[in-house]
Amino acid sequence: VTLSVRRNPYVVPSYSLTGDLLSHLSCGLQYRYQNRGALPPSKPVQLWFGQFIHGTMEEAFRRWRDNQQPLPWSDGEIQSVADTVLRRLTARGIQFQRFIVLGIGIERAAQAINRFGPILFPLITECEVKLKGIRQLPPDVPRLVRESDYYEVTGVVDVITSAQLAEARDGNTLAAQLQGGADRFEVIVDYKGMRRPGQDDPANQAWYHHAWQVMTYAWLRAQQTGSQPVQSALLLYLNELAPGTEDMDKLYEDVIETSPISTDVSPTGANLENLTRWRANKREWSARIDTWEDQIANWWRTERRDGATFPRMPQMPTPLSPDFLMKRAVRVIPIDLESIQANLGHFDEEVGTIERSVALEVQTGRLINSWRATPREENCTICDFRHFCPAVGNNYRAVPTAP
Amino acid sequence: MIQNRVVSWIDFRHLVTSPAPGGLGKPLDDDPDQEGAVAAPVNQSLQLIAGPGTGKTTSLTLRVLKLVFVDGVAPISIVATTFTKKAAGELRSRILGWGDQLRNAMLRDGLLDEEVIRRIDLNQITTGTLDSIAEQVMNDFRAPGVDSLVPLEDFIATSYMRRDGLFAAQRYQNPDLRAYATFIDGTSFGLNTKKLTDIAREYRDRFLHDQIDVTRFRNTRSVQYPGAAVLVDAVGGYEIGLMQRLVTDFAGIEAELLARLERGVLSAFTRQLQVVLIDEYQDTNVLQEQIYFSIARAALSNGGSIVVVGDDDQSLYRFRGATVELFTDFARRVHDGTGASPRVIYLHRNYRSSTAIVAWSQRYATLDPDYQAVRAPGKPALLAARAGADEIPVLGMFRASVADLAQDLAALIDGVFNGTGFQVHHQDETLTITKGAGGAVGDCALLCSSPADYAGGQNRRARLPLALRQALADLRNPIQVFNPRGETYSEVTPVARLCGLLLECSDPQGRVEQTIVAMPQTVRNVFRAWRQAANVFIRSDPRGPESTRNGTLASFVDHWQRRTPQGRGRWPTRFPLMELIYELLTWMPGVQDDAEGLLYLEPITRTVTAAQNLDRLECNIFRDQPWADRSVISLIRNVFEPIASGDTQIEEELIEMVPRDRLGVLSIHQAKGLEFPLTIVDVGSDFRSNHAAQRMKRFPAGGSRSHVLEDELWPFSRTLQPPTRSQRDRAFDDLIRQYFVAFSRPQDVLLLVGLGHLEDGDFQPNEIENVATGWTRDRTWPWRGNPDMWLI
Repeated sequence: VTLSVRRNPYVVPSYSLTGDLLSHLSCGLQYRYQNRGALPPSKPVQLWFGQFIHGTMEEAFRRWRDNQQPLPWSDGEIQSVADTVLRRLTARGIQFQRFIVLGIGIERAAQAINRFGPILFPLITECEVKLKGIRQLPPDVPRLVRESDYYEVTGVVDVITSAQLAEARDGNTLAAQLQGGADRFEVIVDYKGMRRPGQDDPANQAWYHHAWQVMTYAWLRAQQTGSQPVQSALLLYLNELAPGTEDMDKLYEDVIETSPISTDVSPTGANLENLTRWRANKREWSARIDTWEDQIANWWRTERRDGATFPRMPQMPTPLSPDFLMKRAVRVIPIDLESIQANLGHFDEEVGTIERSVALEVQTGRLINSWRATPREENCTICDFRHFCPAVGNNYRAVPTAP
Repeated sequence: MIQNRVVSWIDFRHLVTSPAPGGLGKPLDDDPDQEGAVAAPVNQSLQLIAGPGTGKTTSLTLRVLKLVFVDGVAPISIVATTFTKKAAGELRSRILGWGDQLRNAMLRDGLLDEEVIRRIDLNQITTGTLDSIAEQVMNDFRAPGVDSLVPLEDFIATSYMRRDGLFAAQRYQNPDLRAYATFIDGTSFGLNTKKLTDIAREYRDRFLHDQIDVTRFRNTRSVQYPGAAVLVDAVGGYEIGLMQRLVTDFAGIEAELLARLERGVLSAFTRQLQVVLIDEYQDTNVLQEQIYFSIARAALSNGGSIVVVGDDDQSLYRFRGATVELFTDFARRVHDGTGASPRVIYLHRNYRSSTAIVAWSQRYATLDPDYQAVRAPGKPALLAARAGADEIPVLGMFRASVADLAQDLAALIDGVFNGTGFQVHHQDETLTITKGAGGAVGDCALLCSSPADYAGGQNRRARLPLALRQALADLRNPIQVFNPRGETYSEVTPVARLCGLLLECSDPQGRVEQTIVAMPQTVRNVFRAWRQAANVFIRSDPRGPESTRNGTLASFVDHWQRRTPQGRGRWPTRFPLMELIYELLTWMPGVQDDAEGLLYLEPITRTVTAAQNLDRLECNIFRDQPWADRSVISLIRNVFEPIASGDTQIEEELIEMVPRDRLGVLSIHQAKGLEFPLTIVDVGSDFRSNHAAQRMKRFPAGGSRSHVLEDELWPFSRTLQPPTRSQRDRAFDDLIRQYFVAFSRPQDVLLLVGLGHLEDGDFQPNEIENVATGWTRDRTWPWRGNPDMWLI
């Protein structure tokens, strides 16, 4: 009697564009531990901030749309939105951990709602649209773990239609950037809880990864019933509305210390002058931020219960103008069939890399060498696995010391 | 809701039945029942009674694709639910994969143009478990300001029940409550706060699952048992606590979904529905039934239907509130609940197993005359339909001791998978079992009622899974076992080491732990074992990363215990436990680099994440008093105690696949839905005598707590009638179903193993009454002397 051979399950693996593919691009080994292994980060600053900013923008849009609550909103109204989202995140076990993170999060949410809300919300036709589609796996992916020639890719976006754009009020600066072109089209919108990435940073390719991402969104959207061709993507880098110390350091680096300038939206005139003085003013600014953090802590622990609203972020000694910051927050990426086709393969290949790592791990029974580790200073410094990550260039590989 | 017709049934059928790669190669012609299930019109509700291996997933998938491609049903209007995330993933994968293959074939054959195809987005079909769909629907269709609901981790819910339900008003000491709990549990032995909490949580779940009129229950039962009222109050206290924290448990999520459906606030969701398909319906509870009926009413009003698939013989989850009668009585109930008149289709052609195995399973299901009354009426016998495979009779291996059994079993597995084959003899016949080309030991599995290495109770007797693991390890070419549930989670070496290190760092020598008064001795014993494991580990001087030479674990722990920094600066005012976990991981390369190691680490981190919500200290270790001691007490209570007491378990969904080079050891419940070429079923290695203590597992004298609760609560259910069968009968029915599932897993070889003697070829398993070895409840034993298997 010859036994049959057990078949692998027929499973189409599902990949989220942000949760899986961008994470894997950032670092494969960290992705293996945190996403596939479900190990939570000990300092979930980026996770909290991303979830908080998406949650507040979605909740604010629903309130604006369903309750006809005219914008701009008072600090009290903003706080009510933030409270709702904070409750949800807490229930999911996602906490801000440091008061400065909470303060900056609420400040950015306030700026985003009151600055972008009036010009963005009237344009949005569909909110939180779930995009899903299947694509062929690259042919060289081994079928060691499962059978199937496909993978599923998912994402979530807001959608603007040309019809809404046509009805935009005069003076809507956002609409002006998105209008024109075909008769009927769509724009997809995605919020990013980060600064506008630099363009020529060899250690950080986020600028290009975000373009791949929206091209894939556009392809997914095209599969959906009743959709119109996607003409462009609107990315909003919300850190820019209220930059933190690290954001300012990076901007200084991109503009003042890099030649040629490594960002497409750079300051001129008074803004450039103010940026030039950033290093000199940094200490004063940090002191103001420290005081503000104490105020936030005090507000969170006591004053909040008496109905006080959150303390607003202090101004920089030499601030950048709100218009300039708005400009830096907005990135419009033109999209057409050709650009979609040219970019789709990037994520196919990334999925192929993940699937090959999965197979290698199963084959070898070993995990660390099966996944690509990508050392990047800003990643490694807070990575929980830095003490034993074998990547060349990981400067933190050493046994930890008692704090 | 109906889109344009896409292809004709004839064309669709042709593509489905044409051989791959041009078609799907599914021979519907040979199976008129399956074809009937696929071809039924969109408005025809169905009840598919599908025996094991009868192509249930294939039928469901093809039905969905037929609805879309032939009937033009919009994918967004189809909802398909299954029982586990894994099964949901497989169903979704089939729909997407086969759907795309069909679509390409239709384009190739010019059956439709690209524009029509573009409008068909199969990804919009909703698939998932009911819980995941409930969460998704309530999140997607919520009003502004309304909180989306997140189910609590189970151990957190238990912790809230203890705190808000039982400690409040000192209910845990209430003599009436304890008397009632003794009645429910059948014994006062071991009636501690943990058991009271378990009972209270079971009541909370059943109040919702069985749709109980709680007020009537309280008023009626408290006359005889005043403790019933105390129990209701405890559940009420728990529910108020949940509401105040804006959280809920799994039963609460489903109850909230039903409430929102009934209030009509999800009409944007139900408006679009046309077809509802539910798999594993035999394990549905009343609350879920009401949800299904509610969305089915919407589907029916849109000209659609409800389709349920299941097999009453495979209902395994009574202990989680499943009510098999909802399936066996489906036609009447769904008619009363929705007006639908389902057509019943029996899928009974088994494509999985050999003729001998199908015949064996079929005989087993019909062995006990008293069981026949609860089976779906008119159920036809299973029919072997697998083509062209070798045949071997069912095998039995019974030995005098677990050690002998493990040795001989290991020899068989070794022969098949390491050697050139294993010969089995019966009278004058000899057959050789060999692995298939490309086969591996992963083609074999041992199924047991429990995969635990040790028996419970004081003596910690080693069981077959452990004995077999050791026998396989002793082979010349050792074979590894994959059994993550074999060891008690808190006793697994990496868990014990890591938790011990965390305790030693945060609370050196247990100074703070000793100040905690109310802590079960069993938990203290686990803590002691953890600390010992940690200290042994520290003394072994484990190495960190290769590139560093200094920095021992001993030194790290010592500095932690003295709260003295190894570097400059001052000890931080607070330090997150999660960060300490990852730092300690540095000295544990076996965990960092091994998928199974991560599987053991994840529950600890999950417990910490969940515990962060329990108090304001948020799982930090504070430096200064009084917070220093309070924070350690909080960690002990909220993190270490749940792990030590077994509330935290590994998440099996994270297992990418059972490694092909290891022998899987699974509980029969874990094996549901799986198949193995060679399946070994442990039918009695635990039973040496007719001892009463293990009767429930082999030949029940009465019911378990689940059966008692049914008798206690169903008289107050809004939709269920009180049970008509005795608790003992229901316990027997459940055991028969369990072993029916086990016996129907193999593809080629079924091997039964247990304790017993072989005398002159006669089968004499110690004359122990045991349902798994064919005893019927009237104490007759049809297998006596004639088990119809080859004894080897």
